[in-house]
This record gives sequence, structure tokens and C-alpha cells, in this order.
Amino acid sequence: MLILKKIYNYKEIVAIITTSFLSLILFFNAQSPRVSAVKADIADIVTFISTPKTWYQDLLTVRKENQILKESLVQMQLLNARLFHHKNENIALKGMLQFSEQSPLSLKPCAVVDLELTSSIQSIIVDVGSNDFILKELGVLDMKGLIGKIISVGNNASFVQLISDKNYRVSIRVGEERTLGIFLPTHGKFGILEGIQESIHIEPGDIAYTSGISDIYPMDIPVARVLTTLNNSESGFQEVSVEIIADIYNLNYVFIIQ
Amino acid sequence: MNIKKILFFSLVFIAVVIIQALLPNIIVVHHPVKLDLFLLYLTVIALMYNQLSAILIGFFMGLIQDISTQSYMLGAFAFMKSLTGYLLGGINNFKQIWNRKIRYLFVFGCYIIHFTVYHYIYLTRNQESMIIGIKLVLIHSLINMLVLWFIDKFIYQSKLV
Repeated sequence: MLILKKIYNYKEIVAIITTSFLSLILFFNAQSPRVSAVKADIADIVTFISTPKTWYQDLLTVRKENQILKESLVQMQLLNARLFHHKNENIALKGMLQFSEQSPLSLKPCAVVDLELTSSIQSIIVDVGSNDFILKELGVLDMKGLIGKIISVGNNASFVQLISDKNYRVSIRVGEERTLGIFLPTHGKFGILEGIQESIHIEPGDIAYTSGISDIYPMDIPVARVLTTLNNSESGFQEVSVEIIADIYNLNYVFIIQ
Repeated sequence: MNIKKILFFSLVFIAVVIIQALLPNIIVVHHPVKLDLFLLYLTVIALMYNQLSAILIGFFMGLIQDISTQSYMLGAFAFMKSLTGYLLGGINNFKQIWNRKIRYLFVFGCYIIHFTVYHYIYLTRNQESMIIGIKLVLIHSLINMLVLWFIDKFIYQSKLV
């Protein structure tokens, strides 16, 4: 009753709303170009009025899209980094393959899985072992020169003593006369050649190669490059300081001489 | 409203429908103009009786006008006439406050709104049509005002508005 009384009090408003509603329903249901034009005008007005709302919604959508794009960007950057890594690896592997094919030696390529330069024995671990017919005392080299030798063999991995290890010795030949000597590492990439007589002519830049006397290493593998020479009149031998040719601080893949 | 009055206004309404149907267009300033007798009838109802009657009569009158003249756009006149009835009926609330001139001005404003809505629907949306539309709105409103003035003056002895 109360509601009916209130409606009665506002009967004019109710009447105009009802009649407008009915007439507009009839009007907008008509299929006429003029009605379509009115609808288009109303749509324009509604669009204009709802511009702030649309703008705000667009802003939210843009923020969401931005977040998704940021995540995608990070993923793509990671993927790109991986691809770059694979590209460089591919280049290195291609170089190794070429080296392996051109070398007269029978070489077994393998990856370095661990590098230990601070322990009592400077060594690396490679991913081949007795399952790959790897034996102890086999020489190891990279594309530049001698790396070391196998000192321990597991089923699927092997220990390699590096040429820079203080207990490492290798017989070499150096100079035009291919004089015999012994390579001894001193510190880091550096070492000395022992047993080179004062009368032998050696120049900085000369390469010391493996002599082939040992059972471990075939001959003519580059070992070290001469840096300086100094005659020691008391002992009758030269003091020859050398630099290891192999890139011992950046080992990824190496070859085992089989 | 008693039965006699209802009967009288019903007869007048039928007469208005017939006359409106037969009424020819007149050319005013190169434009065809037709007197809107329905609007005048609605004005009389709104001024003599109350707002509610004006709204309801306006709505049904508009519907009849829609059916008889433009069935493809049903609802346009019904909306215009009920809105105009509401606006014209509103004058009764201010009859004691407003003087005669203001009341006439208000009625003229209602006519302007009525014909603006009408021409907004009927005319195409370009600048030329807009100028013609403004002219037509003014002409129609003025002609209807003039006829209303005659009705007020000679039928109702200046007691209608």
C-alpha cells in the first residue's frame, strides 16, 4: 500500500517513464534508416561519455600486456643467450672437427667437465673413460698444443694431469738443430726448458715440440714458445723461459691421443 | 472530468484526426509546413487538465499518428507527444507564479523541443539539413503558437494559457 501510495504521488513521473520506455522500445525495434541513424548518434554519445572508462580499461589492459611482454622478453633473452652459446659451441666444435680430420694422429674428442687448478695436482676431468677405450698415460692436447696426460681412468670419466702441474715433465726438441731438452712448468702458463746447451742457438718465438722419445707422446706436438734465453756460464746450459702454447685456462673440449 | 467532457473531447479528437489527415501542406519560405493539430489538441488538454492526462493522451495520440502516417517508425510520435504532454502539463504547477507572457514563452519552448526532436529524426545529418531543420522548427513552432493564440483568444477568451 505504501509503495502504491508513493507511486501515486509520483504518478506523472511514472507515466512519462512508462510511456517513454514503451515508445522508445517501439521506435528502436523499427527497421528504418532513420532509426539506424538515431541509434548511431546515441552510440556516438555513449562512446564519448564512456571515453574515460574505456581509457582506464585500456590502461589496465596495457599494464597487463606490458607485464606479459616483460616476461616474454626475459624468456627470449635467455633463449637468445642459449642460442649464442650454441652458436659459439658450434663454431668451436666445427674447428675441432676440422683439426681432428687434418691431424695425422688418432684423436678422441671429449668435453672437460671439471677444472682443478688450485689443488696439489693441477688437473681436469674429461667425460670419457674405459668404456670409450681410454687408457692411462695417454697424451691430451687441444687445438693449439699439448695439455697433459691421463693419470687416472674411470668407466665414464678420466683425470688429466695438466702440463702446468709442478710435477709434470715432458721431453722436447727446440731450435733449428732440434736440440733435446726437458720442459718444466714454473708458474701458471710459464715454464723453463732444461738441458739446452749454451752453444745451441735459440731465439725467442721458437716453438718447443714433443721429442717422440717418450712412449706417451708422439713427436712434434707443440708444447711451448720460447720467451727469453740466458746463457749461464757456470753450468754450461742456457736458462730458457717459455710459455705454454695450449689454452689451459679456457678448456672446453680436448683430444686424447689414442 | 465528467462524462460529457470526455465525450466532447473524444468527438473533438476524432475531428482533429480527420482534419489532420485532410489538412494540406502550405509552403512557407520555400518549405512545406503542416499545422500539427494533435499538438494543439494536446496543449489544450495539458493546460485545461492535469499533467497525467496530457502524458497519457499524448502517448496514445502519438501512437495513432505513428500508425496513420509512418508505421515504419512506430513510437517516434508517441515519444514526442508524451514528452511534450509532460512538459506542457508542467505549466499547471507554475500557473500562479508565472505571468501570461512567461507561460506563452514556456509553451513556445515546448513546441521548439517537440519539433526539434521531430526534425532531428526526420532530417539527414548534414550541415544543410541542419540549417533547414532550424528554420522548419521555428516556422512550425511559430505557426502552432499563432493558432494556439487564436484558440486561446477566440474560443477560451484568453483563459486557456
